[in-house]
Amino acid sequence: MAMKRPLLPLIMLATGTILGVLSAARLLDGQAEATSADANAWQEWRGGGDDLRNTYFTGHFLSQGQVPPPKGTRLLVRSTDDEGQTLRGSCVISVEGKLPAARWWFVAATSGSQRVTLDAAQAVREADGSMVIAVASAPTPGNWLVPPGDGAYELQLVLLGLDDTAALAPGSLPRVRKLWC
Amino acid sequence: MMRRALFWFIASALLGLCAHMAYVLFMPSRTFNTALDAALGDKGSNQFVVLDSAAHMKLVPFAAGHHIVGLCKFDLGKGPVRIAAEMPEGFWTFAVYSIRGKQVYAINDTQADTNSFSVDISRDSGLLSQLTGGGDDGQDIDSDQLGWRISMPDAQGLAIFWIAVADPLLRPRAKAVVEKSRCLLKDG
Repeated sequence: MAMKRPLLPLIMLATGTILGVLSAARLLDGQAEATSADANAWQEWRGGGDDLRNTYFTGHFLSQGQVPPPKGTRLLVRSTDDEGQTLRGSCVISVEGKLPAARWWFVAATSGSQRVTLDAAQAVREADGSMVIAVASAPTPGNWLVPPGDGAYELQLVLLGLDDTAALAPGSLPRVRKLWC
Repeated sequence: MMRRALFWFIASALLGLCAHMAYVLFMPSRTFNTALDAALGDKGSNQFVVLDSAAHMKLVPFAAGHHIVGLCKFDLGKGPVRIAAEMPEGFWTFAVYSIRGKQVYAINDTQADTNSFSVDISRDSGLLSQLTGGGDDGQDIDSDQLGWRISMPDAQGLAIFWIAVADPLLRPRAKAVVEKSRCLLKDG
């Protein structure tokens, strides 16, 4: 019994420290916010606002050894299709819809430091201004993006020249549908 | 007994808060500096370098492989630094960050209205500003014939040139223009 008493404070202090570190790691990793209920798997890291929020915003990128996006650049990411299934290079997916009125944009399929991109200058649009991009390992007609390998990957949408503080309207981001695997 | 338990509970909560803050404030910038030094290789401070595609895709999550990313890690410890930027036609962004990742200044091609400009960076001498970590954040820009002047609280920082080249075939020509940029001690 005499041995147990000094242990309790030590356990409490160690637990407090571990919880502090774990909560920091989780907040740095999970501060992305959904931007659109209509295309709800797109997520965006946004700075601005108060210093506390900016600390986590910059910390998120720095902790991955990356530069935070500069002002005027919006970086949206998603790792699942509209049905919540993980994006995989072995499947064919379709990215379709309109984009916000940015000065310039690109869509990228990334895995680690591999990044395959299709940008505004390369993409062919439909008559109504929308576009369809096939992400597939085999060639497909129209806009074609090769996934980085057969495994899981992430889609990125980079928008240049949009107001940093402006919320993206529901439906303003393209949908992501799995066609087949 | 209850008071003793309450004491240790509060102490552990405070320790947890300290651990949280220490992790958030120091670990990310430490990781970033390691990545930055790896990307710069043998290039030291106050030197401008255009990264190869593999290096810039690791470091810059918003850049495509055929884009151009130039870096200058600067050290204001020896005095103000001047960055003389030469940009190609097209979309580009020039941004200055403190070594802790806080964006101090950013300008793009439409805002600058020129592809050739200079930016003088000096250390903010205000004690209050250094304590609060606030630079002028691009608000106190002194526009003159040379370009822009900014100040920041940290002694070290990073200037990034990001050129979103529209056509990969234009990359060599755009890169040749960007490589004329310089980053050096202003009074050196």
